[in-house]
Amino acid sequence: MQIDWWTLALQTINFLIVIWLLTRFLYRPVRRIIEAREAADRKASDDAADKAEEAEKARQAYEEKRAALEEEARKTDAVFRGDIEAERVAILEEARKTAEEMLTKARDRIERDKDAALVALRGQIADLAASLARKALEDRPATSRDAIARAAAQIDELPETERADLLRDLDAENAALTVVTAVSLTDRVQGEWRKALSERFGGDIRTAFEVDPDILGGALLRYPHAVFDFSVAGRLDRAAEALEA
Amino acid sequence: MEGSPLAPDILFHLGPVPISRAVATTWVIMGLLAGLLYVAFGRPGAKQGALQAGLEIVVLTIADQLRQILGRDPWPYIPLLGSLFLFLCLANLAAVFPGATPPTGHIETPAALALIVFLSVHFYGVTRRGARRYLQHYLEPSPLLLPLNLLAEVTRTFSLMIRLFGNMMSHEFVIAIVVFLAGLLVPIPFLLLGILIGIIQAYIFTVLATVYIAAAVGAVEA
Repeated sequence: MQIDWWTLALQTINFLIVIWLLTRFLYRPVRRIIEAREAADRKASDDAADKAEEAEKARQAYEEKRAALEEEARKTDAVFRGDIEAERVAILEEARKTAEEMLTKARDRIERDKDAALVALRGQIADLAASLARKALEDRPATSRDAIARAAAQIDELPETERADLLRDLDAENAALTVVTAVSLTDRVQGEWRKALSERFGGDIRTAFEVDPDILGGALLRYPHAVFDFSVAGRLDRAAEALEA
Repeated sequence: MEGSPLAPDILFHLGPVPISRAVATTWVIMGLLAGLLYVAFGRPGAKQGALQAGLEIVVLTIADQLRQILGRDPWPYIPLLGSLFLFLCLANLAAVFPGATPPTGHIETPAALALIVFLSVHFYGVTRRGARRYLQHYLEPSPLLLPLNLLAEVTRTFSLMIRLFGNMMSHEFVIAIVVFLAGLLVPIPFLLLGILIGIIQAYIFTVLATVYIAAAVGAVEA
């Protein structure tokens, strides 16, 4: 067994050269490639993360925009509703005003019509009253003598049975025939009344005289159970009753 | 067959320097390697081809293996250990080429590699842990073991060399004997076995060198 030292030295150098060769031309390039690839992977990963972030941002922006749009729509809706409400109120107000105006106008017209009607009615009433008064007064007894004549005429026209009834009533105790006039009568006129009445009912009837301004004119004969009315007031009352009927 | 078959096979002299067959074979291997690397990585900007991808896979596989054994970043150790494996594969496989003998079949080449590994172990140990702490590990677990530790340093390097040399040399001899006895076709299975043995020995040599370096640089650094 022998060792060739030259060969040993040469092989040592050779192997060191192999190490240099492989390091220079194999390991370093491979490592560079691997590092570049890892960097590329990292970059791709980062890019993907960036893209994801961008997408997230875009999504958030979209969400915000959507929320803003919703808010706007809500506001618009509210404004719209407000407008509608305001319009409704305005229309109601206008309708109310119109109704009020119409009512006022109607009231005015009614008032005017009423006034006109009243005026017309007053005229009619005046006419009526005038005619009434005319009727009441047209054949009133102008004087006391006329009144006495009228009363006498009426008593004369009475049927016999009624006149007997009246007489019977007057014959009763304390019974009196009362003559009511608007103004107090003079003794002479009273005498004439007494004379005219005595002629018809006999001389022993009691005659009394009363003054009642309410009968306005004429005379009113009050028996115990009956009243003969020749007064202006009575005539007016009868005319009014005739009108009302 | 005159002289020892173990004696160096001097082809020619370069001045005073005798060039043996192992050295010449190594040069051829280096030339082929350089050509391969030039084709794969020599042209910058070239598109990545199948060759480049293949070499990349080889380097990454070696780096992966070394990471498992070292338990740390393998890239600082790749130049030595990766080159050991690749060179040993190519050197051992020289046996399959007619007329070529593997350089590892002669003692000088394994000795040169073992010497480089021996020096590298101490180099890595000192640079990674510091001279003081590195030398302290010879006193562990007990200072009494210092002589044994020192002896182990020598013997394991020696065994590294002899294991490779013995296997390759014996394989060469077996093939020579089989050829001599049985003729042409019978040695073919032995040649196939030679490929297997060559790769296994390259692997064993590299792994052992890695283990020595791993022991020298210490436990996994935080």
